[in-house]
Amino acid sequence: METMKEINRIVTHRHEVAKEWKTKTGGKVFGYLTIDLPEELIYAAGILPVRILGSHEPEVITDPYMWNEVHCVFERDCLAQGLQGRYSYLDGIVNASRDPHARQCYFSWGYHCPVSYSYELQVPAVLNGRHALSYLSGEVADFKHSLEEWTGAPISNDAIDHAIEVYNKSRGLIKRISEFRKGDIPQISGAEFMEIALAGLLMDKKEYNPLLEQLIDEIPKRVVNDAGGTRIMLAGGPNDHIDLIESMESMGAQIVVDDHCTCGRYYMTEVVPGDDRLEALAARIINKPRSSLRDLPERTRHKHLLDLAMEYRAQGVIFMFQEHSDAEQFDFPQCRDYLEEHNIPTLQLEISFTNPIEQFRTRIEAFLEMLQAREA
Amino acid sequence: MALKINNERYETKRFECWPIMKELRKKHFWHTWSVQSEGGQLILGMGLANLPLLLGIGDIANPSIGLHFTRLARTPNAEGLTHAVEEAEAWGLGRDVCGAMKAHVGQLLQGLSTESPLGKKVQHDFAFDCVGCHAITKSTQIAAEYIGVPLLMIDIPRKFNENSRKYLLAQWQDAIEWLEKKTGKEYDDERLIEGLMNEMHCEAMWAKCVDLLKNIPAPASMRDMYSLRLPLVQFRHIKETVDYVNTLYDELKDRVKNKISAQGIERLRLTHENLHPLYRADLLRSPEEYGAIFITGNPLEAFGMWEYTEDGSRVPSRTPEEKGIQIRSREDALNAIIDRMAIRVEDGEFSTRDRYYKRAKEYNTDAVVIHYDRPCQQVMLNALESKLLLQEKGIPVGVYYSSQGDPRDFDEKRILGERGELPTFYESLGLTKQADSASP
Repeated sequence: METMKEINRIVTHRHEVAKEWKTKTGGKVFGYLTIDLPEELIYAAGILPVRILGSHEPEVITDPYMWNEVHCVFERDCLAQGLQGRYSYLDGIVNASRDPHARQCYFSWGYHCPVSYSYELQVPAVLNGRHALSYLSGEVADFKHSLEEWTGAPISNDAIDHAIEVYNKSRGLIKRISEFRKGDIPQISGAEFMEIALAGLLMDKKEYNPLLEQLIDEIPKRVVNDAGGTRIMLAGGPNDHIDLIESMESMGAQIVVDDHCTCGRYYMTEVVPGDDRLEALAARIINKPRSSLRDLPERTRHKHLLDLAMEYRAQGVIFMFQEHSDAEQFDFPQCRDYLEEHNIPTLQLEISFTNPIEQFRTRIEAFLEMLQAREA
Repeated sequence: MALKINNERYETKRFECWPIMKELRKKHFWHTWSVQSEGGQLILGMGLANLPLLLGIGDIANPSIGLHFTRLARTPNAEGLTHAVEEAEAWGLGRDVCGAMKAHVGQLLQGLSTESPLGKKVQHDFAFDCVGCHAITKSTQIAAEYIGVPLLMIDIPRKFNENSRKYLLAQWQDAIEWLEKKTGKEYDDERLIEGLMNEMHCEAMWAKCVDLLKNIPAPASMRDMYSLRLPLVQFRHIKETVDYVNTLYDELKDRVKNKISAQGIERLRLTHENLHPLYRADLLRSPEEYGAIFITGNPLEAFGMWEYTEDGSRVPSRTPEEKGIQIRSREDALNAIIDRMAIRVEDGEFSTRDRYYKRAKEYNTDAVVIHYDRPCQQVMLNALESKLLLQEKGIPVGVYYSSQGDPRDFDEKRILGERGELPTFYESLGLTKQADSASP
């Protein structure tokens, strides 16, 4: 598929893509550290929001600021990119996470790679609380005000409506692409899907949407052989390890769906337009599937994972999360037990900068064999 | 630059408050097990910074995770604690997550958290927590589900403005409805107001006590204060604690006036940042054999209430009586709780990198020891940045690597051995072991 080459270029040369956009439009670029963000508002201010991601290279440059025995590798890897000057084109940085790893990355970024704009948006932790929506709407309004002050221009309702339309379109198109994985023979692999999803975090959605439309046109035309793989769902926090997903698929796994915040979950919930635009943006964050941290006090995440696994007929779920992620780890046993009670076995892998692929191979192959034996 | 060693000798004596603290601690411990039979509520969870809210439903006891933590920690080599932690790992928690919360979950799985020291089974009435650290919040959720009790969770914003005040007020008001519904008890505003006034008084007085440690010689060591602080942890809302902390303050003031020191000598004054390994409180006495002393650190300040003067200095908060605060209604009380919370959040112990430095300056300390607490992400937020700032400012910093709750992370030889992290640091400051420096 020709379009996949362009997707691959965007993911591989993400910095060049952002810089080209900046040169072409004369606009500003912001980096962000979490998906619980009304990105549409940034976009409506004429700023390109890009997700800060690592490069998966072993590093020691963050050691003075983030401790490798306590801070997760994902955020350390993000900070490493900043310290190496790879994000020198950023004009601002935004965090909306309460995760101490992301906050440390945000703080250290501010100390050592200063940018002209930085903002921590407060997002409620108890999302299903009665007052969460009104609180978050207020915080989104403050964020809008802050952006307007920085750019020196008001963000119009028309601009917000346009941003919502562009972003919702991406979400709808990604859903259609994901549908190609529901059939007995998935039309795209998990690694391809991850690459497509990641590209959307790194570029202007207005340019991304036509690529998705081309893919929707190309995918049904490709000839895919039945590799007879075992249908697997992935779950966890941030994960951009395309190479690892490729390896898993070469072992006989067929990744049919995921709930990673950098991948499938990012696109799952659309903004429902309303007269109060800021409330509509806040409502999307409130209504989207819960992360492990924000699944409080009543749990909804395990049911969401089960529903997703059933919808895509996953035979097993592999939880992949970063070392030192307290929220993921304290959430895991309950999710595992719930899925297993519903006859969906699970496997847990801790991921790092680089991954011990041969150790993982033993565990993944054993898991797949076990799943196949159950099917037989 | 060589540090100036102070070889002056000072008088020292035992604390007269010590038996009062022990009596209060004992009373609280047994109260935990008798509260239900006396018509009160036994509460699970770590919402201990906001307990007055619960007082409106009557008497309460909140042993948080401390039910058996101390007893388990005191078994040889803290073996009991290790078993609890391993139990939680066998259940599915990772090696690299919070040790203290793993011990909490482990105790729960072992059945210890629902068993009194007399062997009787107990059932908590409900769980209460305020969203802060992930490990604590998720552990309370797990514990509530495991025991099968309802969970009340309050979301605490990390930034304060009018919007977050409104958000908190609405949550507190809902919480009162929730408490009435779940316990079947009518909420008594008078009890809330009385408990809150006591707590505000205790927090202000504790800050004044800690502030006295700035004096040379310090009237108490960090280790002394760590124990003397115990009534402030979970029952600062009762009148006995008000009386206790007033007495403690008077005693500390008297010690300052008469130059009564904690240990007779303070060749160098040190701060200790972050909780020490809870099963090794003796570590806080490790500078003593060098004639040095730990004066304070963030765990001591956390139980006090502070405020800022116009010039930006951080000073102990005035008591409600000194401020002339009148709390007459539920709304007054809830707003006062929010005011306290706003000060704590804006104080930003972990959101800035200058608190270690400021504390070292404020308390006249010569050097800083930081506990690099392996699995505690909350206290490690900005810890490395704070260390860099201290170094930039020319203040010597030593670190040791361990864990507040998981004894397997405590390597005796590496931390306290002859060439261990702490002795080496003390010697690097120009200190030598003293033959006669032990405190009484």
